[in-house]
Amino acid sequence: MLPETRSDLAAVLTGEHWWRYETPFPHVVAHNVFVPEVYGAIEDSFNRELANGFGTEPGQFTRQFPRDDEAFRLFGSRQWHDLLGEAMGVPGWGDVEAGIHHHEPGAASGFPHNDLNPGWFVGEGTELEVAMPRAEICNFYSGELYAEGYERREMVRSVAMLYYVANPPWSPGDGGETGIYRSASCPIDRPASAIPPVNNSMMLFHCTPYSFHGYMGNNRHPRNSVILWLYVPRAEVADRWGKESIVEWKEAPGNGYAS
Amino acid sequence: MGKGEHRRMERSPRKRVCLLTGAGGAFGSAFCQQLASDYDIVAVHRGAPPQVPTQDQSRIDPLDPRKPLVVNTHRVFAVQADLEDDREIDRVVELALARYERIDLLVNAAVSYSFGPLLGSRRLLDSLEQQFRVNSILPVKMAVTVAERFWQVHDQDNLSENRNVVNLSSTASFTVRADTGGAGYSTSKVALNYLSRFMAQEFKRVGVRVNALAPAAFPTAEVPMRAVLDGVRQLDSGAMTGRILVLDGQGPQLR
Repeated sequence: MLPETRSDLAAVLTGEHWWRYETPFPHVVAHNVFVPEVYGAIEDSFNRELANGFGTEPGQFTRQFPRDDEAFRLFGSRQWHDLLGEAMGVPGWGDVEAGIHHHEPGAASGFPHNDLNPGWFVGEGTELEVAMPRAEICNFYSGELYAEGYERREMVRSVAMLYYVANPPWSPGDGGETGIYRSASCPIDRPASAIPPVNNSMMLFHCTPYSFHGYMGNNRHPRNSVILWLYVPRAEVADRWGKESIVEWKEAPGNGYAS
Repeated sequence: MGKGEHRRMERSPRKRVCLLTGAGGAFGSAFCQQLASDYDIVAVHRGAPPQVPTQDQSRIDPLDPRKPLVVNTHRVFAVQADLEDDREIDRVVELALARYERIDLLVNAAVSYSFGPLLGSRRLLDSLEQQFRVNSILPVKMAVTVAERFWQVHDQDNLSENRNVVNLSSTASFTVRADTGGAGYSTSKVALNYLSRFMAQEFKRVGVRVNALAPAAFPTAEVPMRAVLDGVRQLDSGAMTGRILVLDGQGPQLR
Protein backbone atom coordinates (compact mmCIF):
# COMPACT_ATOMS: atom_id res chain seq x y z
CA MET A 1 0.00 0.00 0.00
CA LEU A 2 3.02 2.33 0.38
CA PRO A 3 3.57 3.97 -3.02
CA GLU A 4 7.19 4.43 -3.93
CA THR A 5 6.75 6.20 -7.26
CA ARG A 6 4.17 8.37 -8.96
CA SER A 7 3.23 5.34 -11.04
CA ASP A 8 2.49 3.41 -7.86
CA LEU A 9 0.23 6.25 -6.79
CA ALA A 10 -1.47 6.34 -10.18
CA ALA A 11 -2.32 2.68 -9.71
CA VAL A 12 -4.32 3.34 -6.53
CA LEU A 13 -6.21 6.37 -7.91
CA THR A 14 -9.28 5.97 -10.10
CA GLY A 15 -7.98 8.50 -12.61
CA GLU A 16 -10.99 10.80 -12.25
CA HIS A 17 -10.15 14.44 -12.56
CA TRP A 18 -10.39 16.50 -9.39
CA TRP A 19 -12.23 19.83 -9.16
CA ARG A 20 -10.33 22.95 -8.22
CA TYR A 21 -12.36 25.94 -6.92
CA GLU A 22 -11.01 29.45 -6.59
CA THR A 23 -13.71 30.92 -4.35
CA PRO A 24 -14.28 31.72 -1.57
CA PHE A 25 -10.71 30.43 -1.17
CA PRO A 26 -8.65 27.94 -3.17
CA HIS A 27 -9.81 24.38 -2.55
CA VAL A 28 -10.07 21.07 -4.34
CA VAL A 29 -12.87 18.51 -4.20
CA ALA A 30 -12.30 15.00 -5.51
CA HIS A 31 -14.81 12.19 -5.94
CA ASN A 32 -14.07 8.47 -6.26
CA VAL A 33 -10.51 9.10 -5.22
CA PHE A 34 -9.18 5.54 -4.75
CA VAL A 35 -9.87 2.37 -6.68
CA PRO A 36 -12.41 0.11 -4.90
CA GLU A 37 -9.94 -2.35 -3.37
CA VAL A 38 -7.89 0.47 -1.83
CA TYR A 39 -10.98 2.26 -0.57
CA GLY A 40 -12.22 -1.03 0.90
CA ALA A 41 -8.96 -1.56 2.78
CA ILE A 42 -9.08 1.98 4.22
CA GLU A 43 -12.70 1.47 5.26
CA ASP A 44 -11.85 -1.84 6.97
CA SER A 45 -9.04 -0.15 8.89
CA PHE A 46 -11.27 2.74 9.87
CA ASN A 47 -13.97 0.38 11.13
CA ARG A 48 -11.38 -1.46 13.23
CA GLU A 49 -10.47 1.85 14.87
CA LEU A 50 -14.13 2.65 15.47
CA ALA A 51 -14.55 -0.71 17.17
CA ASN A 52 -12.01 0.42 19.76
CA GLY A 53 -14.66 2.74 21.20
CA PHE A 54 -15.00 6.45 21.57
CA GLY A 55 -12.93 7.11 24.68
CA THR A 56 -14.05 9.95 26.92
CA GLU A 57 -15.18 12.51 24.36
CA PRO A 58 -18.97 12.61 24.01
CA GLY A 59 -20.29 12.40 20.48
CA GLN A 60 -17.01 12.69 18.61
CA PHE A 61 -13.34 11.94 18.67
CA THR A 62 -10.18 12.85 16.88
CA ARG A 63 -7.72 10.04 17.25
CA GLN A 64 -4.04 9.81 16.52
CA PHE A 65 -3.32 8.45 13.11
CA PRO A 66 -2.78 4.66 13.27
CA ARG A 67 0.45 4.83 11.35
CA ASP A 68 1.31 1.17 11.53
CA ASP A 69 -1.90 0.21 9.79
CA GLU A 70 -1.09 -0.99 6.29
CA ALA A 71 -4.03 0.78 4.60
CA PHE A 72 -3.49 4.07 6.41
CA ARG A 73 0.22 4.11 5.51
CA LEU A 74 -0.78 5.45 2.09
CA PHE A 75 -1.72 8.78 3.72
CA GLY A 76 1.69 8.97 5.41
CA SER A 77 3.60 8.32 2.22
CA ARG A 78 5.89 10.89 0.68
CA GLN A 79 4.16 10.36 -2.65
CA TRP A 80 0.76 11.26 -1.20
CA HIS A 81 2.25 14.27 0.59
CA ASP A 82 3.78 15.53 -2.65
CA LEU A 83 0.58 14.94 -4.61
CA LEU A 84 -1.50 17.03 -2.20
CA GLY A 85 1.05 19.83 -2.15
CA GLU A 86 1.20 19.95 -5.94
CA ALA A 87 -2.59 19.92 -6.25
CA MET A 88 -2.76 23.06 -4.10
CA GLY A 89 0.39 24.61 -5.52
CA VAL A 90 1.98 24.61 -2.06
CA PRO A 91 5.02 22.33 -1.79
CA GLY A 92 5.26 20.63 1.58
CA TRP A 93 8.38 20.11 3.69
CA GLY A 94 7.77 16.48 4.55
CA ASP A 95 6.02 17.08 7.88
CA VAL A 96 2.47 15.80 8.24
CA GLU A 97 -0.08 15.62 11.04
CA ALA A 98 -2.92 13.17 10.47
CA GLY A 99 -5.75 11.61 12.38
CA ILE A 100 -9.10 9.95 12.10
CA HIS A 101 -12.26 11.79 13.00
CA HIS A 102 -15.68 10.55 14.05
CA HIS A 103 -18.92 12.41 14.80
CA GLU A 104 -21.92 10.66 16.30
CA PRO A 105 -25.38 11.49 14.86
CA GLY A 106 -26.53 14.89 16.05
CA ALA A 107 -23.02 15.96 17.07
CA ALA A 108 -22.66 19.66 17.79
CA SER A 109 -21.74 21.84 14.83
CA GLY A 110 -18.44 23.66 14.75
CA PHE A 111 -17.64 27.23 13.73
CA PRO A 112 -15.84 28.78 10.75
CA HIS A 113 -12.09 28.64 11.35
CA ASN A 114 -9.06 28.68 9.09
CA ASP A 115 -6.71 25.89 10.37
CA LEU A 116 -3.69 28.20 10.23
CA ASN A 117 -2.31 26.57 13.39
CA PRO A 118 1.26 25.71 14.38
CA GLY A 119 2.77 22.41 15.50
CA TRP A 120 6.13 21.07 16.68
CA PHE A 121 7.97 18.26 14.95
CA VAL A 122 11.14 16.29 15.69
CA GLY A 123 13.03 13.80 13.56
CA GLU A 124 12.94 13.37 9.82
CA GLY A 125 10.87 11.33 7.46
CA THR A 126 12.35 8.87 5.00
CA GLU A 127 12.47 8.82 1.25
CA LEU A 128 9.16 6.99 1.31
CA GLU A 129 7.40 8.29 4.40
CA VAL A 130 6.81 11.69 5.94
CA ALA A 131 7.66 12.81 9.47
CA MET A 132 4.74 12.88 11.88
CA PRO A 133 4.39 14.31 15.39
CA ARG A 134 6.07 12.19 18.07
CA ALA A 135 4.20 12.94 21.26
CA GLU A 136 6.52 10.79 23.38
CA ILE A 137 9.44 13.06 22.47
CA CYS A 138 7.97 16.51 21.87
CA ASN A 139 4.71 18.16 22.84
CA PHE A 140 3.10 18.94 19.49
CA TYR A 141 1.30 22.03 20.81
CA SER A 142 3.85 23.61 23.18
CA GLY A 143 7.13 22.30 21.79
CA GLU A 144 8.23 20.98 25.18
CA LEU A 145 10.87 18.27 24.70
CA TYR A 146 10.65 15.10 26.81
CA ALA A 147 13.89 13.54 25.61
CA GLU A 148 17.41 14.69 24.94
CA GLY A 149 19.24 14.60 21.62
CA TYR A 150 16.40 15.85 19.47
CA GLU A 151 16.14 19.08 17.57
CA ARG A 152 12.64 20.44 17.39
CA ARG A 153 11.16 22.65 14.66
CA GLU A 154 8.02 24.73 14.67
CA MET A 155 5.87 24.42 11.60
CA VAL A 156 2.46 25.75 10.51
CA ARG A 157 -0.30 24.04 8.55
CA SER A 158 -0.19 24.75 4.83
CA VAL A 159 -2.58 22.27 3.22
CA ALA A 160 -5.53 20.52 4.84
CA MET A 161 -7.11 17.27 3.65
CA LEU A 162 -10.43 15.74 4.67
CA TYR A 163 -11.17 12.29 3.23
CA TYR A 164 -14.57 10.71 3.87
CA VAL A 165 -14.64 7.00 4.62
CA ALA A 166 -16.90 4.43 6.33
CA ASN A 167 -20.00 6.61 6.22
CA PRO A 168 -23.56 5.45 5.52
CA PRO A 169 -24.96 6.47 2.11
CA TRP A 170 -25.57 10.22 2.07
CA SER A 171 -28.57 12.12 0.67
CA PRO A 172 -29.37 15.86 0.71
CA GLY A 173 -30.81 16.71 4.11
CA ASP A 174 -28.69 14.13 5.96
CA GLY A 175 -26.34 16.87 7.21
CA GLY A 176 -22.76 16.40 8.34
CA GLU A 177 -21.26 18.49 5.52
CA THR A 178 -18.11 20.55 5.75
CA GLY A 179 -19.10 24.15 5.09
CA ILE A 180 -16.91 26.63 3.21
CA TYR A 181 -17.28 30.28 4.27
CA ARG A 182 -16.34 33.74 3.07
CA SER A 183 -15.59 35.01 6.57
CA ALA A 184 -15.28 33.86 10.16
CA SER A 185 -18.51 35.65 11.03
CA CYS A 186 -20.70 33.65 8.66
CA PRO A 187 -23.31 31.50 10.45
CA ILE A 188 -22.28 27.85 10.32
CA ASP A 189 -25.51 26.95 8.51
CA ARG A 190 -24.98 29.56 5.76
CA PRO A 191 -21.93 28.33 3.84
CA ALA A 192 -20.86 29.54 0.43
CA SER A 193 -20.73 25.86 -0.44
CA ALA A 194 -20.85 22.56 1.41
CA ILE A 195 -19.02 19.29 0.83
CA PRO A 196 -21.14 16.30 1.86
CA PRO A 197 -19.66 13.23 3.57
CA VAL A 198 -19.77 10.95 0.56
CA ASN A 199 -17.43 7.99 0.86
CA ASN A 200 -14.19 8.03 -1.10
CA SER A 201 -14.48 11.79 -1.71
CA MET A 202 -12.05 14.34 -0.41
CA MET A 203 -11.51 18.04 0.00
CA LEU A 204 -8.20 19.87 0.14
CA PHE A 205 -7.48 23.49 0.80
CA HIS A 206 -4.59 25.84 1.16
CA CYS A 207 -4.51 27.01 4.79
CA THR A 208 -4.52 30.80 4.76
CA PRO A 209 -5.98 33.50 7.02
CA TYR A 210 -9.09 33.22 4.82
CA SER A 211 -9.64 29.47 4.54
CA PHE A 212 -12.78 29.49 6.68
CA HIS A 213 -14.47 26.13 6.95
CA GLY A 214 -16.38 24.24 9.60
CA TYR A 215 -18.30 21.12 10.50
CA MET A 216 -21.96 21.91 9.87
CA GLY A 217 -23.36 19.24 12.21
CA ASN A 218 -27.06 18.39 12.00
CA ASN A 219 -26.03 14.91 10.86
CA ARG A 220 -28.53 12.07 10.85
CA HIS A 221 -25.80 9.46 10.57
CA PRO A 222 -22.31 9.07 12.00
CA ARG A 223 -19.68 11.00 10.05
CA ASN A 224 -16.23 9.56 9.58
CA SER A 225 -13.15 10.98 7.95
CA VAL A 226 -9.39 10.87 7.74
CA ILE A 227 -7.88 14.30 8.34
CA LEU A 228 -4.39 15.37 7.43
CA TRP A 229 -2.30 18.53 7.23
CA LEU A 230 0.91 19.38 5.42
CA TYR A 231 3.21 21.80 7.23
CA VAL A 232 5.68 24.52 6.28
CA PRO A 233 8.10 26.44 8.53
CA ARG A 234 6.56 29.14 10.73
CA ALA A 235 8.84 31.77 9.16
CA GLU A 236 7.44 31.03 5.71
CA VAL A 237 3.88 31.60 6.88
CA ALA A 238 4.85 34.70 8.86
CA ASP A 239 6.55 36.14 5.78
CA ARG A 240 3.57 35.40 3.58
CA TRP A 241 0.66 36.28 5.85
CA GLY A 242 2.16 38.08 8.85
CA LYS A 243 3.06 36.44 12.15
CA GLU A 244 -0.18 37.68 13.73
CA SER A 245 -2.17 35.58 11.26
CA ILE A 246 -0.97 32.32 12.83
CA VAL A 247 -3.66 30.99 15.15
CA GLU A 248 -1.86 29.91 18.30
CA TRP A 249 -3.05 27.01 20.43
CA LYS A 250 -4.49 27.83 23.82
CA GLU A 251 -4.17 25.48 26.74
CA ALA A 252 -7.56 24.00 27.45
CA PRO A 253 -8.86 22.30 30.63
CA GLY A 254 -7.71 18.70 30.97
CA ASN A 255 -4.22 19.22 29.50
CA GLY A 256 -5.66 19.69 26.03
CA TYR A 257 -5.16 22.44 23.49
CA ALA A 258 -7.63 24.33 21.34
CA SER A 259 -7.30 26.92 18.61
CA MET B 1 -18.73 43.26 -50.34
CA GLY B 2 -21.09 45.61 -48.48
CA LYS B 3 -20.43 46.90 -45.03
CA GLY B 4 -23.11 44.72 -43.49
CA GLU B 5 -21.77 41.57 -45.16
CA HIS B 6 -18.31 42.33 -43.87
CA ARG B 7 -19.63 42.60 -40.35
CA ARG B 8 -21.46 39.31 -40.68
CA MET B 9 -18.35 37.56 -41.91
CA GLU B 10 -16.41 38.88 -38.97
CA ARG B 11 -18.97 37.57 -36.57
CA SER B 12 -19.53 34.15 -38.07
CA PRO B 13 -16.76 32.36 -36.15
CA ARG B 14 -18.03 33.70 -32.85
CA LYS B 15 -19.98 31.52 -30.52
CA ARG B 16 -23.51 32.65 -29.83
CA VAL B 17 -24.00 34.14 -26.40
CA CYS B 18 -26.62 32.40 -24.30
CA LEU B 19 -28.02 33.73 -21.04
CA LEU B 20 -29.32 30.67 -19.17
CA THR B 21 -31.35 30.68 -15.97
CA GLY B 22 -31.75 27.58 -13.82
CA ALA B 23 -28.18 26.57 -14.65
CA GLY B 24 -27.75 24.60 -11.42
CA GLY B 25 -30.62 22.23 -12.25
CA ALA B 26 -30.47 19.00 -14.21
CA PHE B 27 -31.38 20.63 -17.53
CA GLY B 28 -29.14 23.64 -16.92
CA SER B 29 -26.16 21.50 -16.00
CA ALA B 30 -26.66 19.30 -19.07
CA PHE B 31 -26.97 22.39 -21.26
CA CYS B 32 -23.67 23.70 -19.91
CA GLN B 33 -21.94 20.32 -20.16
CA GLN B 34 -22.98 19.58 -23.71
CA LEU B 35 -23.35 22.95 -25.40
CA ALA B 36 -20.53 25.04 -23.95
CA SER B 37 -18.48 24.40 -27.07
CA ASP B 38 -21.25 25.96 -29.17
CA TYR B 39 -22.32 28.84 -26.94
CA ASP B 40 -20.68 31.33 -24.63
CA ILE B 41 -22.95 30.64 -21.68
CA VAL B 42 -23.83 32.95 -18.82
CA ALA B 43 -25.03 30.32 -16.36
CA VAL B 44 -27.28 31.83 -13.70
CA HIS B 45 -27.76 29.62 -10.66
CA ARG B 46 -29.35 30.21 -7.27
CA GLY B 47 -27.72 27.38 -5.28
CA ALA B 48 -24.82 25.19 -6.34
CA PRO B 49 -23.26 26.07 -9.70
CA PRO B 50 -23.44 23.62 -12.59
CA GLN B 51 -20.70 20.99 -12.41
CA VAL B 52 -18.80 22.32 -15.40
CA PRO B 53 -15.65 24.37 -15.72
CA THR B 54 -16.37 28.02 -14.97
CA GLN B 55 -14.33 31.12 -14.21
CA ASP B 56 -14.12 29.85 -10.60
CA GLN B 57 -13.83 26.10 -10.98
CA SER B 58 -11.89 23.78 -13.22
CA ARG B 59 -10.83 20.17 -13.50
CA ILE B 60 -7.29 19.10 -12.69
CA ASP B 61 -5.36 15.92 -13.27
CA PRO B 62 -4.20 15.02 -9.74
CA LEU B 63 -1.07 13.38 -11.14
CA ASP B 64 -0.15 16.50 -13.10
CA PRO B 65 -2.20 19.42 -11.77
CA ARG B 66 -0.48 22.06 -13.92
CA LYS B 67 -1.22 20.28 -17.18
CA PRO B 68 -3.84 22.15 -19.24
CA LEU B 69 -6.88 19.93 -19.78
CA VAL B 70 -9.09 19.96 -22.86
CA VAL B 71 -12.16 19.64 -20.62
CA ASN B 72 -11.46 23.15 -19.29
CA THR B 73 -11.42 24.74 -22.74
CA HIS B 74 -15.03 25.90 -22.89
CA ARG B 75 -15.75 27.49 -19.53
CA VAL B 76 -19.13 28.93 -18.72
CA PHE B 77 -19.49 32.24 -16.92
CA ALA B 78 -21.35 31.33 -13.73
CA VAL B 79 -23.36 33.96 -11.86
CA GLN B 80 -25.08 33.24 -8.56
CA ALA B 81 -28.32 35.16 -8.18
CA ASP B 82 -31.76 34.94 -6.63
CA LEU B 83 -33.87 36.06 -9.58
CA GLU B 84 -36.96 36.51 -7.44
CA ASP B 85 -35.34 39.83 -6.56
CA ASP B 86 -35.80 42.23 -9.51
CA ARG B 87 -32.50 43.94 -8.76
CA GLU B 88 -30.78 40.62 -9.32
CA ILE B 89 -32.32 40.36 -12.79
CA ASP B 90 -30.80 43.73 -13.65
CA ARG B 91 -27.45 42.67 -12.24
CA VAL B 92 -27.39 39.40 -14.15
CA VAL B 93 -28.20 41.04 -17.48
CA GLU B 94 -25.67 43.77 -16.84
CA LEU B 95 -22.99 41.18 -16.03
CA ALA B 96 -23.80 39.17 -19.16
CA LEU B 97 -23.48 42.26 -21.34
CA ALA B 98 -20.33 43.41 -19.57
CA ARG B 99 -18.78 39.98 -20.13
CA TYR B 100 -19.83 39.32 -23.74
CA GLU B 101 -21.26 42.63 -25.03
CA ARG B 102 -24.35 40.91 -26.45
CA ILE B 103 -27.01 38.29 -25.77
CA ASP B 104 -28.13 36.14 -28.72
CA LEU B 105 -30.22 33.57 -26.90
CA LEU B 106 -32.10 33.74 -23.62
CA VAL B 107 -33.07 30.34 -22.20
CA ASN B 108 -35.46 30.62 -19.28
CA ALA B 109 -35.05 27.32 -17.42
CA ALA B 110 -35.35 28.39 -13.79
CA VAL B 111 -38.20 26.45 -12.24
CA SER B 112 -40.12 26.19 -9.01
CA TYR B 113 -42.44 23.30 -8.31
CA SER B 114 -44.46 21.86 -5.49
CA PHE B 115 -46.96 19.07 -5.88
CA GLY B 116 -49.94 18.23 -3.73
CA PRO B 117 -53.72 18.45 -3.39
CA LEU B 118 -55.58 21.73 -3.26
CA LEU B 119 -57.85 20.39 -0.55
CA GLY B 120 -56.65 18.95 2.72
CA SER B 121 -53.28 20.69 2.79
CA ARG B 122 -52.02 24.27 2.45
CA ARG B 123 -48.67 23.22 1.00
CA LEU B 124 -49.58 23.63 -2.65
CA LEU B 125 -51.60 26.77 -1.96
CA ASP B 126 -48.69 28.32 -0.10
CA SER B 127 -46.36 27.63 -3.03
CA LEU B 128 -48.63 28.93 -5.79
CA GLU B 129 -47.37 32.50 -5.86
CA GLN B 130 -43.77 31.42 -5.98
CA GLN B 131 -44.43 28.92 -8.76
CA PHE B 132 -46.11 31.60 -10.85
CA ARG B 133 -43.37 34.13 -10.03
CA VAL B 134 -40.57 31.79 -11.12
CA ASN B 135 -42.24 29.74 -13.86
CA SER B 136 -44.43 32.37 -15.55
CA ILE B 137 -43.44 35.90 -14.64
CA LEU B 138 -39.65 35.61 -14.28
CA PRO B 139 -39.15 34.58 -17.95
CA VAL B 140 -41.01 37.71 -19.05
CA LYS B 141 -39.02 39.92 -16.70
CA MET B 142 -35.77 38.42 -17.96
CA ALA B 143 -36.69 38.95 -21.60
CA VAL B 144 -37.97 42.49 -21.03
CA THR B 145 -34.82 43.40 -19.10
CA VAL B 146 -32.59 42.07 -21.89
CA ALA B 147 -34.73 43.99 -24.38
CA GLU B 148 -34.51 47.22 -22.39
CA ARG B 149 -30.76 46.93 -21.88
CA PHE B 150 -29.74 45.60 -25.29
CA TRP B 151 -32.21 44.31 -27.87
CA GLN B 152 -34.29 47.50 -28.23
CA VAL B 153 -31.37 49.43 -29.67
CA HIS B 154 -30.01 46.59 -31.81
CA ASP B 155 -33.09 45.61 -33.79
CA GLN B 156 -31.26 45.17 -37.12
CA ASP B 157 -28.55 43.06 -35.52
CA ASN B 158 -31.21 41.06 -33.71
CA LEU B 159 -32.65 39.95 -37.04
CA SER B 160 -29.32 39.19 -38.64
CA GLU B 161 -28.10 37.33 -35.55
CA ASN B 162 -31.42 35.46 -35.23
CA ARG B 163 -31.71 36.44 -31.57
CA ASN B 164 -34.44 34.75 -29.62
CA VAL B 165 -35.94 33.56 -26.35
CA VAL B 166 -36.64 29.93 -25.43
CA ASN B 167 -38.94 29.44 -22.45
CA LEU B 168 -38.82 25.98 -20.91
CA SER B 169 -42.43 24.84 -20.51
CA SER B 170 -43.86 21.34 -20.10
CA THR B 171 -46.43 18.99 -21.59
CA ALA B 172 -48.02 19.19 -18.15
CA SER B 173 -49.46 22.47 -19.44
CA PHE B 174 -51.69 20.60 -21.94
CA THR B 175 -53.59 18.34 -19.56
CA VAL B 176 -55.68 18.60 -16.39
CA ARG B 177 -54.94 15.68 -14.09
CA ALA B 178 -55.87 16.28 -10.51
CA ASP B 179 -54.18 13.08 -9.38
CA THR B 180 -50.76 14.51 -10.19
CA GLY B 181 -51.12 17.28 -7.63
CA GLY B 182 -49.62 19.57 -10.24
CA ALA B 183 -52.26 22.31 -10.34
CA GLY B 184 -49.66 24.98 -9.58
CA TYR B 185 -46.92 23.69 -11.85
CA SER B 186 -49.21 22.92 -14.80
CA THR B 187 -51.08 26.22 -14.72
CA SER B 188 -47.89 28.22 -14.29
CA LYS B 189 -46.67 26.58 -17.50
CA VAL B 190 -50.02 27.31 -19.22
CA ALA B 191 -49.44 30.95 -18.34
CA LEU B 192 -45.89 30.69 -19.66
CA ASN B 193 -47.11 29.27 -22.98
CA TYR B 194 -49.50 32.17 -23.50
CA LEU B 195 -47.07 34.77 -22.23
CA SER B 196 -44.56 33.38 -24.73
CA ARG B 197 -47.07 33.94 -27.53
CA PHE B 198 -47.83 37.48 -26.39
CA MET B 199 -44.12 38.19 -26.08
CA ALA B 200 -43.56 36.83 -29.59
CA GLN B 201 -46.05 39.37 -30.94
CA GLU B 202 -44.51 42.32 -29.13
CA PHE B 203 -40.86 41.33 -29.60
CA LYS B 204 -41.31 41.18 -33.40
CA ARG B 205 -40.75 44.90 -33.52
CA VAL B 206 -37.27 44.54 -32.05
CA GLY B 207 -36.47 41.55 -34.25
CA VAL B 208 -36.40 38.95 -31.50
CA ARG B 209 -38.23 35.63 -31.69
CA VAL B 210 -39.90 34.03 -28.65
CA ASN B 211 -40.86 30.36 -28.40
CA ALA B 212 -41.55 27.76 -25.74
CA LEU B 213 -40.24 24.24 -25.44
CA ALA B 214 -42.62 21.73 -23.83
CA PRO B 215 -41.03 18.38 -23.06
CA ALA B 216 -42.73 15.58 -21.18
CA ALA B 217 -41.02 14.56 -17.94
CA PHE B 218 -37.33 14.12 -18.69
CA PRO B 219 -34.80 12.65 -18.87
CA THR B 220 -36.54 9.35 -19.68
CA ALA B 221 -36.18 6.72 -22.36
CA GLU B 222 -38.94 8.49 -24.32
CA VAL B 223 -37.57 11.99 -23.80
CA PRO B 224 -33.82 11.84 -23.20
CA MET B 225 -31.89 14.94 -22.19
CA ARG B 226 -30.32 15.03 -25.63
CA ALA B 227 -33.76 15.50 -27.22
CA VAL B 228 -34.51 18.48 -24.99
CA LEU B 229 -31.15 20.07 -25.77
CA ASP B 230 -31.77 19.45 -29.47
CA GLY B 231 -35.15 21.14 -29.02
CA VAL B 232 -33.44 24.30 -27.79
CA ARG B 233 -31.04 24.15 -30.73
CA GLN B 234 -33.95 23.71 -33.16
CA LEU B 235 -35.76 26.74 -31.79
CA ASP B 236 -32.56 28.79 -31.66
CA SER B 237 -31.58 28.08 -35.25
CA GLY B 238 -35.08 28.23 -36.75
CA ALA B 239 -37.24 31.10 -37.93
CA MET B 240 -40.41 30.33 -35.98
CA THR B 241 -41.86 32.62 -33.36
CA GLY B 242 -44.84 32.32 -31.03
CA ARG B 243 -44.71 28.54 -31.25
CA ILE B 244 -44.47 25.72 -28.74
CA LEU B 245 -42.17 22.82 -29.60
CA VAL B 246 -43.63 19.71 -27.98
CA LEU B 247 -41.40 16.78 -27.07
CA ASP B 248 -43.56 13.92 -25.87
CA GLY B 249 -41.63 11.00 -27.28
CA GLN B 250 -43.55 11.02 -30.58
CA GLY B 251 -41.02 13.24 -32.35
CA PRO B 252 -40.81 17.04 -32.12
CA GLN B 253 -44.08 18.80 -33.00
CA LEU B 254 -44.62 22.53 -33.35
CA ARG B 255 -47.87 23.90 -32.00
